[in-house]
Amino acid sequence: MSKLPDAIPTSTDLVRRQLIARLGSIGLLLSMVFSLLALVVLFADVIDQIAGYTVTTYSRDPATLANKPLAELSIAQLATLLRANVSDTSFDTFVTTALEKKDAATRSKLVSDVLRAPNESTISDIPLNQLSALELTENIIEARLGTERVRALAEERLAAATPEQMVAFIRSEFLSPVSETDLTDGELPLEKVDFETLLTIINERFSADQFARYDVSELANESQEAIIDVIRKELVGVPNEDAILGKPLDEATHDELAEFLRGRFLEESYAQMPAYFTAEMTPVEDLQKLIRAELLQPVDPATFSPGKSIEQLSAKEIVAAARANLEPHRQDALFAAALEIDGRATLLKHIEDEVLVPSVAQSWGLYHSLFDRAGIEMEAAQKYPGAKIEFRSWITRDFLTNVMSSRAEESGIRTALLGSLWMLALTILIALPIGVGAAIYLEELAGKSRLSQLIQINIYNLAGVPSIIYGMLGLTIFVRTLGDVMGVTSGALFGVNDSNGRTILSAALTMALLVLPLIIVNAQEALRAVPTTLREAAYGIGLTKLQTIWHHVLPAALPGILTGSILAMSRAIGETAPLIVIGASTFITVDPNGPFSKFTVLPIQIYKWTSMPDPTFRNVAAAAIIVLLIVLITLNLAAILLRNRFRRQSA
Amino acid sequence: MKTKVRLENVHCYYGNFMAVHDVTLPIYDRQITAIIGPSGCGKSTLLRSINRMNELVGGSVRGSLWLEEQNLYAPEVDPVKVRRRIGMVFQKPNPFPRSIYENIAFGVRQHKLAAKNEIDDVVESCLRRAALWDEVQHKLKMSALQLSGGQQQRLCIARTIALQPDVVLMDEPCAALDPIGTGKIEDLMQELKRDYTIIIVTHNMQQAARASDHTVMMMMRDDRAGEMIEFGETNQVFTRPRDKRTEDYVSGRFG
Repeated sequence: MSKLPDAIPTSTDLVRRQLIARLGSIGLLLSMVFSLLALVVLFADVIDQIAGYTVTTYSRDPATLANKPLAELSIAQLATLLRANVSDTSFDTFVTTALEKKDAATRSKLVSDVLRAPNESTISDIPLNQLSALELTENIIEARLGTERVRALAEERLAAATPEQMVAFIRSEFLSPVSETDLTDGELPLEKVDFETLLTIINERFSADQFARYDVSELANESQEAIIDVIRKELVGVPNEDAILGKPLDEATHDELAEFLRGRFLEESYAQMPAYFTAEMTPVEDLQKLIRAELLQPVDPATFSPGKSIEQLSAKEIVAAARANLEPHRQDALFAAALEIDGRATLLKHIEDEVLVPSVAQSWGLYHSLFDRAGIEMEAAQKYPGAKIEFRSWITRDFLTNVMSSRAEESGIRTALLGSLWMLALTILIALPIGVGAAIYLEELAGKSRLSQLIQINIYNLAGVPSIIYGMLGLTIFVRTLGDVMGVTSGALFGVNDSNGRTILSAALTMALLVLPLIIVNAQEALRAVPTTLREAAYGIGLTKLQTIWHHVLPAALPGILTGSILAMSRAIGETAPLIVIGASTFITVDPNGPFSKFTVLPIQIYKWTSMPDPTFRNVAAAAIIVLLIVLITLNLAAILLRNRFRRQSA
Repeated sequence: MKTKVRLENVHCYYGNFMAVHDVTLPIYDRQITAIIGPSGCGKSTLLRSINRMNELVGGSVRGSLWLEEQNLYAPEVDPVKVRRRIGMVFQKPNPFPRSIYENIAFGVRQHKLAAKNEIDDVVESCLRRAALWDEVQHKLKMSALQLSGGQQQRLCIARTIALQPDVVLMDEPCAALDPIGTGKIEDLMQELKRDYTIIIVTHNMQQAARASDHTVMMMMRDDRAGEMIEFGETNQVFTRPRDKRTEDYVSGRFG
């Protein structure tokens, strides 16, 4: 029996111990809070970038594009609009692409429909014989025949007209009396109009003859009253017939009159001449006859595509033939029908991409957008007057399915996402069997020799080697030697020749090397954690070593092995440096379609986007980060569920 | 009485360390032989050397060990086959982390001891013999780890006899069990004795006295090697021990 020490200071001891314990637990709590905080800040930063108000500016103002909103236009009108605003080459590409979606028979039917003699109702809702001459000319002939043909018709009409007819036309159009208020748009008396406007009236209304008689620059120095006098004298009242040609109209020759009319209308718009002129001077029947002859005739397929039947034509040849051999209205009809295959949405998208070309001029963070909408609107109105401001999320379905683009708004991660998944799948396929095999060997079979200890230490060391070193290793072995020289990883041995060694397979092999130590170490831990009693039980019923490992030890260790693989997967999908070294593509728009494809992966995309000069790419990068995180979490979740299932089964 | 297992001058080693020194001993057929002695005297090592389990942890044996007319340590003998014929039940119940049914069926299937359609019958008869059938017949698909300790141990015994061994080794099978579980195992041993030769290592003197027919008394020498100091019928060993140390040990005056 030992004697207790004399005085044990129980009370003070307790207080001090509790104090230390409390301080300790506060410290631990703080470290947890700190790490959580770091995580929250990181997430907050990324999330701030993925949505928010953006100001979009267009290289052409959508409002000026057509007299109606785009949404109200028919497909034919949209097609015409597109054709008028893009180069012939790109327009032809759209049409060709659309046509190529159908087989030859459908295409030829499309063409035949256009070549066939159209029904009258296709060109006018109202029967032709109920329309006036002016309506026939303006709504049908001008709208459908094209400028060249209209010009030719106008010349024909001029040539056929008698001088008397021309003089009568000139008198009715140009020599009607003019009142003072006709001159001022606001219908004000001339005295009430300011000096500038008076000068403008003179500049706009004077004929060449009148300009010859007055020096306009000197008029600008005169008093207002003097100018009003000039205007009254020269422009108000019945115009002087003789001033037009410098002699009485009745004495003018046919050519002189024709030249005047041509010149007069050219100033405005050539196309307007026949509208007035022919309508005045051509009988309605002639116009109807013209329309029927020009617009309602079938086109012979032989003239459309000389020497070939329409079925034999490729989409591209159809477009070329249409441009060469069809009248403008038929071209338009054919192109509209072709573009209709793609649908309205695609057509609108073409117009948006090629004509309007929207670009995000500025974007604001999510939190700013949520709490300071008024401020943003004010700033936007100041910097970009009239521009559209809208709330935009950068993670959209298009973002997932689009390929890369040089414009941030159009960029997507399709190729990167597919590349990541391909690489991950191959990596796991390569690394898991090798890693688990190595672990089993080291843990169950190798024994405790000096050599196996050396290997063990090396594996621990390899787990800590910087990943860029693995990139260099991969570059030398998998890309250069196995790929470019031997043609294994480039696929040259297997008949895939359009690639060098910078393939998904090389990347996966490199990544497999990178994650192998992780998998081995984790699998070893898992095997070590299998209780000896389980092994004894298996040996006790007369199982061999391999049977014991395969049937009992491995299943029991599987949850642990899976945990290690989850870590390895997470590492592989987030790793960037080695892939940069082995040469992943940074701009690629083709989906990877096998182990021998060129590729890019999500982290490389993010890295690339964050280094782009256009700040809009920051938003795209943030969206890609979110996608990467989602992929990671999904994979981990799947693996954890799998692991729990195994664990439940074995418990 | 027929001798089932015969040990002749058996020495057990771990590397260079001698754990058991020179044991010569007959094990009689369909009898229960108990090995008793203080901790560290080599009882378990001796037991495990009988079915060559000690080799798995680096043990080796000098001398010869016979199962009927077969030397178990002859060079042509496959230790895996030895373990199949000499089954073992461990101190801590260690059923496989699978269903109750699968625990028994697995070994039967591995060694092809029964046709596929007969496995159900084998499982039932083994569970009956292990006196477990009534308790588990409705939950054969349940994980074996959900059984109580005693039930698990009986399941392990059932798993062992399913392979129709010649000998069953038991390494302190009741050490982790309560008295009720212990009682059931002891009853079961008496039951199994009719068909199997049983060798049991135990620390429990009462158990040895109650349950065994023959008793081996082992003791550690000064060089830490264990040696057998007495072998005889249990009754004789407990009531009229020839060795003074045995008397001290069984009467609780020593160790």
